[in-house]
Amino acid sequence: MISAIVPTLGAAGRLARLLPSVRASLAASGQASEVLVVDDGATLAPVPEGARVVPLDPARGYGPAVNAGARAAAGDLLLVLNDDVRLDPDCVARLAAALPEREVFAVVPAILSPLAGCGDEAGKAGRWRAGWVEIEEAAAGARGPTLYPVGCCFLCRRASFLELGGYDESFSPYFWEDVDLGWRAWRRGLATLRVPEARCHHEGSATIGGFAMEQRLAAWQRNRTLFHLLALADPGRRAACFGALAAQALFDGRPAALGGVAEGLAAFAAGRAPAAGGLDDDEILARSRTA
Amino acid sequence: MSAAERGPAGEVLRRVLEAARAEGALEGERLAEFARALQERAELILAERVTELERELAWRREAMAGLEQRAQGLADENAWRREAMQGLADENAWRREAMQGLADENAWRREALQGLAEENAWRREAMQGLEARSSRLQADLAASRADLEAAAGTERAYRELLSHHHGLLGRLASDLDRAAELSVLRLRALRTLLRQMAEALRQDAR
Repeated sequence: MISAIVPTLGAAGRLARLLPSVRASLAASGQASEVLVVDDGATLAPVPEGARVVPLDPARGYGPAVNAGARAAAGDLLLVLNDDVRLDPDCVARLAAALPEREVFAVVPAILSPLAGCGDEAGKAGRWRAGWVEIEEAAAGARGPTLYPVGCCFLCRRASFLELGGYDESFSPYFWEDVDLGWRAWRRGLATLRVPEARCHHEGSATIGGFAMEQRLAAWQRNRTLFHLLALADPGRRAACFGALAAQALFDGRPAALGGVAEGLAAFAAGRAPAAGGLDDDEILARSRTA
Repeated sequence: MSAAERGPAGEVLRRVLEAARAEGALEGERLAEFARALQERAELILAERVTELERELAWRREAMAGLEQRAQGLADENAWRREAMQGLADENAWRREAMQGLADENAWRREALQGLAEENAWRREAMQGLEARSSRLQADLAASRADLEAAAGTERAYRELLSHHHGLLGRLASDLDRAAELSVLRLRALRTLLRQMAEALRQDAR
């Protein structure tokens, strides 16, 4: 059974417009399915047709909302979606067919979006640059690995998701939680694969578009800092990360950016331990690059 | 200078160094990694900031050029407006002069009109005098005509009377001739004839 999990911040109109494509794609997969709309903030009205609503009051952000949906889901497969995506009818069937039993955490369709420079948000690769992992778009091609399952659409096994601990809720409300999830999966040797023949259409930033630019910059800096401090295992890479953070403190004069870094450091200092064991950092980047 | 004195950036740096120190990232080979990343990241940030500043500078230059163009445009427009104002002032002065001329002409015309009005009044009075005199003359003429007609009637009456008297005298003379031719024997007839003559005279004497 496939459980589609769609967190939303009260976007009833968008859901009414886009959920039918999700239901149709689920139905076309030939598997039993359900749609769980996680009502982040419990403001959703009316309830979308054909969906089970999981209320979250107060609102807790994208990661916690997906986690709540995963806990409430009845399916063994989770189709995680943003509320501003439309699926091609055969999308779910193609994703389900491409998800092997082992060694793959998630499969991601082509995510066609105006946000992506190459037109497809799904392909992501990381490279070291001046102390940090820099995320790059990987152009669409054949089926292959990608660094992380972009949060707006992926299919994974519920058991894998829960074993990984789901999204790390300290990244709430948004940004970098999907990189962190994919990185943790890769650390355990579980790949994320892109399946370009499955297609999803993303309207783009419909959820976080309502936040002010300064707020988004601060959240981005906070979670990038937190990701590196939590995810990197190699002591040399971690030292380089601190060097990059020191450079940012010294030379980036933007108050929102500095505030974000300070918050990231504080979140890490609150009793968190860096990653250990599994694939090393360089290997994760190497394996996750599209061949 | 303490981190607090260096402001928020100093405080963030303090926390970064504290966390790095706690992991031993500032020791041995790791310090080299730290320093290299710091240098590379600093270069990136500064390059980004320079790019941003250059972009902003270019934008400001464009904006400045636009403003200068606008200022030049406004200056040109101002000069044109000043010229137009001068033209309008000149035209105004000319109009004022023309107005003065028209006012003078108007005053002259008013005076002339006053003279004509006075002349008119005088003429009207003279006309009234003439009309009165004419009426009187016409009345005199009518009276004269009436007198003339009356005189003509009298003359006609006199002429008729004269003609009547001539006729009467002629008949009396004829009657007297007949009476003279009568014989003495025909006294009675004479008498009758005389009486008839007397009666005719009597009637004419009334």
